[in-house]
Order: sequence, then C-alpha cells, then structure tokens
Amino acid sequence: MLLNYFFRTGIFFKIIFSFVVVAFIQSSAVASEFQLGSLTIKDPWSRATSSHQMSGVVYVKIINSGNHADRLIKVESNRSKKATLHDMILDGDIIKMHSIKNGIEIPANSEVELEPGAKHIMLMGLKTKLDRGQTVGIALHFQHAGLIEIKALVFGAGSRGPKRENIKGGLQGDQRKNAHRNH
Amino acid sequence: MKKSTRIGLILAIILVAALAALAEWLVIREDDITKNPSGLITSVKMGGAFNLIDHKGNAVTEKNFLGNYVLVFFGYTFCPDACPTALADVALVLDELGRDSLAVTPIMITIDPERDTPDVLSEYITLFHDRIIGLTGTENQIKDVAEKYRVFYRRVDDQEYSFYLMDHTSFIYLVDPKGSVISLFRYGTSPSEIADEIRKHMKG
Repeated sequence: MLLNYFFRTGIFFKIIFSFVVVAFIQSSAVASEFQLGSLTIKDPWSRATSSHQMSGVVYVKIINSGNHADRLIKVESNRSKKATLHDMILDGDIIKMHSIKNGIEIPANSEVELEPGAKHIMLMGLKTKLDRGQTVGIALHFQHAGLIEIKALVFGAGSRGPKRENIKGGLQGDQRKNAHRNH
Repeated sequence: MKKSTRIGLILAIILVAALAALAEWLVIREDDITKNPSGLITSVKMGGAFNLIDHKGNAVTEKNFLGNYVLVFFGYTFCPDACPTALADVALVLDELGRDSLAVTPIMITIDPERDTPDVLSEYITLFHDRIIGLTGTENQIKDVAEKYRVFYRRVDDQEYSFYLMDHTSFIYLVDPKGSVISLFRYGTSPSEIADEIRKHMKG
C-alpha cells in the first residue's frame, strides 16, 4: 500500500535518482587527481553561487612528494575574469580577507591544503553563476613545476568539501530541500 | 577657576566619556560576558529592537521573532569563503536539532545593504537552507542593529577587485524566545556544540 503510494507519486524514483547522483559525484570526486612532476593536485572543488555573487572559491590539496620546495605563484580560471590566491584571517573576532602577494609555498615532502576559512583560490568577476555538478577550469602556475590545468567540481553552496560530502553538506542540503517539496 | 575654563573642562570630560562609550559600544566588553566552565560564552548583554526588511520584502521587527529561539548571524552575500561556511554551520545546527529545530529561527542580517537587496538575499540563502531568513534594510537600520549586537563591519576597497569586500565580526548569536541574547558563538564553533547549547536552554 505504502510502496504503491511511493511508486505512484514518483518519490521512489526521485530517491533512487538522488542516490545515483550522489554516487556519481562521489566517484568523480575520488577520481579527480592531477599529476605534475612530483606534485599531486588532489580533489579540487568549488561551491555553488547565486546569480548575484560576483566571486567564487576553489579549494584544492597540493602534495609535494619531491625533495624540493615549489611555489604556487599564479592562478587563472575559465569561469571568472580573474583568479587570485586569497587568505582568510581572524583578527580577534573580525574576519578579514587579503590577497596573497608572494604565492603559496609547497614545501618538499609535504602537503598544503587550501580549505574553507583559510587559504583559497578566489574567482573574481564570475562570468556565470556556478551550479552544483558543474566544473571550474583552473590553471595553476608553479614556480618550478610549471603549468597544470585542472577541473574543480562544484558542490553545494554550503559544502565542506569532498571528504564531508558523503556525510553532510551541500548535497544533503539539496536532498532535504527536495524532500520538503515532496511533502 | 574662571567660568569659561570650567565649561571647557566639563566639555572635555564629556567628550572623553563619549569617545570611551563609543569605543566600548563597538567591542564586546569582558564585563558583559558570562562564561561557563569550559570557556564557552553563555550570556552577553546585547541585542534589542530593530526595523528591517526580510528577503521576501516584508518589513519586520524583533517582535516577529518572539516565541522562538533565534540564531542570528551577520554577513553578506558577496562573501566567498567565510559566510558560506557559517551559513552551512547554521544549516548543520538545524540538522543536528532534528525536530527541535522547528523552535529555532535562523536569521542572516546583511552588513552590506547596498548590494544585498531582498532579491539578492533570497536567492542566496535558499542555497543553504529553506528556513533561513535574510534581513536587510537601509544603511542606518543596519548600522543600528549592528551597534546593538556590537558588530564591527567595514567596507574594504582593493584596487585589485572590481567590487568590494567587507571585514566583519563573525559571531553567531542565540536569542531566547523573549528576545534576549543568551549565547554567543565564536567563528569556528562546531555545529554540534551550538546545537548542544540550544538544547540545554530548551530543557531550561
């Protein structure tokens, strides 16, 4: 009886569909790894924006397995007029943003993670809004290793990144919204 | 002492007192803060009346929110990194609270009324949670509510950008159903910690 109701209203298929979407996004997130010499660029991701937002963000983990330090000196994106390296700092209880002038050092045999509330790639002057499931093309220029082009996956606006995506975050937010609509 | 000197002195004292009051108004004084044993701030004398516009364009005051717990957060929609994180935290608090979350109204008050019109707010906040209410107003209305919540905010123009960013304080405030601020959460407080604090108050 209940099952019949589910089939009739299409909720069943919507639930199945959302699981498929989650599985797809998770698998593609896992697969996003880029290699440039001894640098591994792992799980680049971004957040959805509204159509009014002029800026967006991209976060990424950079692993240097080599014996020499490198430096991320410049970033570019196909989705914005300009991209810069940015840092969020807490000055007492005041949130401040500032651009990073001399790039980000990637020390030898270590990893640097750009993440929410810290260093990030800022997309300035978005050409169009970023929607969940889209990709953002990013060019990373390293002082020694040179240039690599990567693709960052866009998660929900409030996502905490690929690691948290399967627990809580943007995707769940959207599922919850859909669940509300079905009631 | 000559009369004019005395008046001058009184004026100087008044000026100094006024400046000190202004300075204190903008920052949170330790005297106003009560902490629990784990160092979490549990009560602060602040908050109060406001006249603002919600994201649907309706005029609202603090009275519209009486009867429910309110989570207040100040931010702006052009903020790319910190505000989405804070809003996501608020959404997670609601998730953690489950059914109890119905007794909590989450509110984001913009500190950037120039760009954050009701329409702009509306599209932004629904990206995070459909129960979050966005509030904006005139520059003076925002200044007034920000002062009452001791919020510091400042427009930052950088030649590098074609638009401006804002520096701003980053607390999340818990207001009780009678309209008093009862807890203050610093940036980075985990959603479960905030949810626990709300539950504690709900149990009374």
